[in-house]
Amino acid sequence: MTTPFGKLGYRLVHGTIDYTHAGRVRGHERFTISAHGDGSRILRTTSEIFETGVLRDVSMRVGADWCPRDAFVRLTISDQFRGSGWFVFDEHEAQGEALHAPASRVSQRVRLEQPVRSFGTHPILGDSWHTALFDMNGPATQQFENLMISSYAFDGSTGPELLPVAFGLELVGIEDVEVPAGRFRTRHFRFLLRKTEFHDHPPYDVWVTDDGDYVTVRARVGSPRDLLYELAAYEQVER
Amino acid sequence: MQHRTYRGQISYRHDRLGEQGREWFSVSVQPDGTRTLRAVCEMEDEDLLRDVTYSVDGHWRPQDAYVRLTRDGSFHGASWFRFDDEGAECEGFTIEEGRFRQRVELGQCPTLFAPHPVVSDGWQAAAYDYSKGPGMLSLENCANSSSRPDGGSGPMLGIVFKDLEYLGEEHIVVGAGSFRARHLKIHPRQAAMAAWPPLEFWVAGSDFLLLRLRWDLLETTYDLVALDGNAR
Repeated sequence: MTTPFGKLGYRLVHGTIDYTHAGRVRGHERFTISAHGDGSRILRTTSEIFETGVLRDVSMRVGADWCPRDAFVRLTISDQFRGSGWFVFDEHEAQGEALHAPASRVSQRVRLEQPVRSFGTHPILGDSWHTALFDMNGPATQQFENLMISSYAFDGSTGPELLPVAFGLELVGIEDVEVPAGRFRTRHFRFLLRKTEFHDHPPYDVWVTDDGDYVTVRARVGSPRDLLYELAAYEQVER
Repeated sequence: MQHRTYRGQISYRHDRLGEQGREWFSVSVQPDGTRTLRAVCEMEDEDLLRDVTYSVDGHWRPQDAYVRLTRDGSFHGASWFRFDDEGAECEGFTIEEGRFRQRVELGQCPTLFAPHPVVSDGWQAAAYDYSKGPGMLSLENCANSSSRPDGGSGPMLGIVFKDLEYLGEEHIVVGAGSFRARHLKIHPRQAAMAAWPPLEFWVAGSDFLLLRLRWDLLETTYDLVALDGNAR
């Protein structure tokens, strides 16, 4: 449910997602979303994965249609700079400008037959935003193309760059889920990754808020990695 | 991962209108001194929302930055900045300019970069050699993302010159606490900015944490009202 806008004309959603394995915290993600009057949204995340030393900053804007408009990704691995990149999208072209460590300047221009429908920048919350593609009035499983991602690495620790990707989503159901941040009505999706660049990815389920914001309430990566992501703090503020 | 992190909030308070904006920031500092700032700044009087991610190396030299402006509830511009030993570049897209690319050859890395969060204005104080005591330092080839006082244009690469004045140490109290502070002023040197009064600010510690900034031009005082984490 979208709440009315305040004086500044936008709504902020703040929160934290804890990354755990076998009950042990292995990282976390802080996020702020602003939802604007024109339907556009900006996602800002800072993600830390302790075991692989990933520190990732992402700022990404999508239009009212949830298609990406521009994004910034900055990667630090084990306290060393890995990459910084800026990406801009229109209906005909995706462009990337990046610096990859130690000093490789990369420019990409990708002509598009169709607009990029979603851009994966690797925050867990960004994964959940992919589910905005899903037509809730359509079939239970749906395939998506014309997608891009900033890294093929499981933890997003390469690049950042523009890479093509495709995957499917299955709507498992509408579920009430209890997490440290509270109880939420969610849409439970399963990513369909066979025959994709992520064919060896373990089963991946996400539970996202059923309010149109697509905030990650829970995400679970199955065996052998057995990773759990849960919303630990959540707040909405009208500005 | 051995980096430390601190977070805070700065209140923008107009002399007559009261609080007109605020800034949330976090800074991570790596063992080699490299630091990354993330800031979200909102200004009600300008209906301006600014997102910044800005990194400097262990010598406070700018490395890269991202600035996005949202004005009147809609996208205004987004640009990526990169700095090296010869100058600076900017890749951007704005409503007014469209897609553009800039490269400025300076024969040096810019002395500093001002992407306009108030907290990074405090980082300008890192340029001064405090062993010399109070005095004046010329800052050459300073980059910025906008020449407007509120940073509300572009974002595009600009180069300006200014003087940094160190007035001495003081004790000040702000919403976030009581601090021993260095008191400084920035004096613009550009002809177009000749009528601007100096920008006055106070910083603390080796992080040059901004405690207060006062600019008569905007009739606004910016105070640190919350601080959390490991600032030094």
